[in-house]
Amino acid sequence: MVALLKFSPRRPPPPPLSRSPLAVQGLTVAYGGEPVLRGVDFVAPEAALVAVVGPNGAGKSTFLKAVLGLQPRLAGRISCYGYPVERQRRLIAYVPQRSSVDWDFPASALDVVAMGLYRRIGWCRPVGARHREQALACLAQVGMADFARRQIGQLSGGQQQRVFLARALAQDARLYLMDEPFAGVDAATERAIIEVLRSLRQRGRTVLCVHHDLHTAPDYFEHLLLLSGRVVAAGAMAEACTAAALEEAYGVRLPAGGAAVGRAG
Amino acid sequence: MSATEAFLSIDLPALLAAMLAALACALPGNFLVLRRQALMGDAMSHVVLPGIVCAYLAVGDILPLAMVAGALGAALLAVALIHLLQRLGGLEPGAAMGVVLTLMFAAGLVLLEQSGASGAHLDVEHALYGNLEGTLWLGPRQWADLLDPASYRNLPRVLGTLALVAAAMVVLAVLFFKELAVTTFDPGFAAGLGISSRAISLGLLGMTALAAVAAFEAVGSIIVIAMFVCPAATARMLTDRLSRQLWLSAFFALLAGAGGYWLAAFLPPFLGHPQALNAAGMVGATAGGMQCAAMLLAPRYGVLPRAWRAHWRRQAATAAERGRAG
Repeated sequence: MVALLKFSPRRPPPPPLSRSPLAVQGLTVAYGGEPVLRGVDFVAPEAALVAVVGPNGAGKSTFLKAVLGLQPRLAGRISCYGYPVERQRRLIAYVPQRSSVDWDFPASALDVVAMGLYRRIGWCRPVGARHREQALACLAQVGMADFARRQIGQLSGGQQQRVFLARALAQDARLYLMDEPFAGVDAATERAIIEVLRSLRQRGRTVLCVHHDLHTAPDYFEHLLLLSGRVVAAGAMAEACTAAALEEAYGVRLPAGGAAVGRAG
Repeated sequence: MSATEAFLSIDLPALLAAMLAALACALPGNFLVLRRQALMGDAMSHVVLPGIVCAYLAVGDILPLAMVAGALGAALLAVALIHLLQRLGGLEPGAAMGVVLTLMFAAGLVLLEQSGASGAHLDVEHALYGNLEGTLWLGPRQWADLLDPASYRNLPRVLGTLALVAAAMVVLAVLFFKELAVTTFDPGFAAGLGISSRAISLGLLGMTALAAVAAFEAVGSIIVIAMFVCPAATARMLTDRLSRQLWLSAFFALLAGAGGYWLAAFLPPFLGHPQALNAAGMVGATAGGMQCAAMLLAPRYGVLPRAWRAHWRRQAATAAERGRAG
């Protein structure tokens, strides 16, 4: 409940639990008996960019995976736009970590982006010319139209990340969950991602983004979810991102809180 | 017996059986190779043996339906055992498959030798390289008979089964192309699309088991293993598009089936040898030869073209340096 009360009083009060893009209550997740997340409460506001921050092993990726149903939860309720998250999968797009797939796979950048359209295309139907055009438009949004026919293994890390982002755009979801899209990317990709994030917010979408760089987090995101096996702080960046909260989160594993913050940045 | 009649009744059915078996295995093989589960095809083709022997012992005769049921049951048992070994034993997938396939194949061999099933075309030799040479079609006597429906009454049962299974593989691969592709590339993302990776994986294993069962009886486990891996791996060297890889692998499978049989049957007499070579062995060897050729010669990924390009780049660099120096 602490998390809920930490929203800025100057902003409008958070929408009722049931209608917000993502409402998590008492979420507990464990890997083989060892709890990774304990009693997480969190509400994501409408049209917001939320940074999910925390030390290694804090359960950031696990949090996203639990929301997506990729990781079974021990306890807790998760709702999305007013309904249990299981029924709202088509409203959620996911950008996994780049290292989670085999980039030698025989597919072009356009093929991968078209995967974002598979739900709309439907089972047992081929990808048509119209779908390829839509996929190309999504690639153009991340500045990758020129690489549409390139095999994905022959793209740079940043370009691969942008392909993943374009695939999520193709899903035309309302809630976007991204797992470290900024990890190890070049400056051009970083700018492209920021631009996409801002345009998503402008269109009323909500984005939850696992982020490692504590220096840039306040510039890119206006909301924070600080995790360390539990919610350490959550709410508007200005109020939630305090030195005390960061020390509490990073001090759990690394004795010198300041040093940990410096290293993460 | 005229040469035409000999070809139509001895060579043609064997040729077709080899090609259809190769095609049926090659299509699911593409996805097995991409999922790094190539050993699964190997496992399936071996665990089929105890299933078939058990079915024979239970029924007391070679009944096609009982054989298929026994083989599919054995395949399911193998999948369950592999998962169990991974979960409880902490074995990596390759090791788990290796343990299960050898264990079940060995059990099948022991059963086979002890049960006296070997009288009924069930013996170690047939398990390894099938019964291609014994696939006879006593129907057509000349080419024109192929147009006569009556000659198809004597079509070997195994050919009909293989044709059906091969057709099913083509249809399934085309219908579920998107789903197989996305669950192979990114299972987590597929789940977000509402495509259950587990269901598709099980379906793929089902396809693998079916292809292995159908092909096993006709061509034995050697071709089955070779065809799950070689055509897909060969095609992968030549293209970067999954759809094209599927078609190419189908082409290479048919080519290996036809070419291998042709080499086994007609090459030795041509060279003055009285004896034909083992057809299943030649089909497998041909598939392996194609893989080697592709590795050496594929325009983009082949060893030789890459070395050739590197050589010319070096030459150009040296020439440019000389030009500067001069």
